[in-house]
Amino acid sequence: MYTQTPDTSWYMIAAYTVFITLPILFIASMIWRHRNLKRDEEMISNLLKDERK
Amino acid sequence: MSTSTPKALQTLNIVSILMFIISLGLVFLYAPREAVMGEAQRIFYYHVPSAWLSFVAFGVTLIAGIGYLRTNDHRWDHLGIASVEVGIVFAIMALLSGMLWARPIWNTWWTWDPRLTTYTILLLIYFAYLMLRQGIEDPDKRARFGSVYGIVGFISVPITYFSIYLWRTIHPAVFGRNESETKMSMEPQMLQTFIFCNIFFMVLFVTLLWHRFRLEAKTAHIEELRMKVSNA
Repeated sequence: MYTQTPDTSWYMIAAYTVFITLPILFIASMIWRHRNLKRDEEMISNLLKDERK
Repeated sequence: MSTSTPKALQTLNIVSILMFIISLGLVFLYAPREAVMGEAQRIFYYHVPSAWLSFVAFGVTLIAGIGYLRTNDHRWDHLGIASVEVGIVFAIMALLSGMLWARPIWNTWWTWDPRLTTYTILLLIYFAYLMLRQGIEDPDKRARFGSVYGIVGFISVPITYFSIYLWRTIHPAVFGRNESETKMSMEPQMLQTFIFCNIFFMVLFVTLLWHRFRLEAKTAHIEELRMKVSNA
């Protein structure tokens, strides 16, 4: 019996959007956290310098 | 504390990007379309590695937990939390992509199948790990808690993995002792694509884990500086 292959492209596109978006969001969150840490580090080192003076 | 990215990690970044591009090429251009499921079958190439690597990630947390309890070295704790975060990302990818595959194939977005149910519980267990850790201020107590939780929480991994063999399920088995158990047969191009995607995900896992580990080490360093300032 011949049956036509169903069109399931939309589900595939949606899944690959998830596969690509999630790691990008995770990487972006790491970059954002790293920037915040750098800023904190600068602030703390300035505070420590002021204290030494 | 050194902040420059190690050469090996820089290489891993490049390899990950290249493998990602190649894997997409294989998935969409090289692997043939499956006759019964159609395009939705291509979800499988990323869905399976993201699922089993989430197990590996939680396994790394288990090892890190044992490592910390034995040595009291905080680097083990950094590895543990880094691996949980990466594992959660992979687990969410697996769960969402599974739902997107299930809709056209099972005709439903969700069913309380043993694999789906145990996997969701597993994900919630590791979400709780992150939330509960946040509430502990003392770094030593936090690391000890994280280690014990990581060891106990890992029990959910074998339960999830073996759920399809223990209970009646509609979830397909990809890894099995023989072909009848896996209920799957693949065209050579499909198999090659599948193997490549698995290798790509392993490389991606190591790359993300390493970056997250470095971030955690930096967080701990800043926390130490903060304590110094507040004690001064």
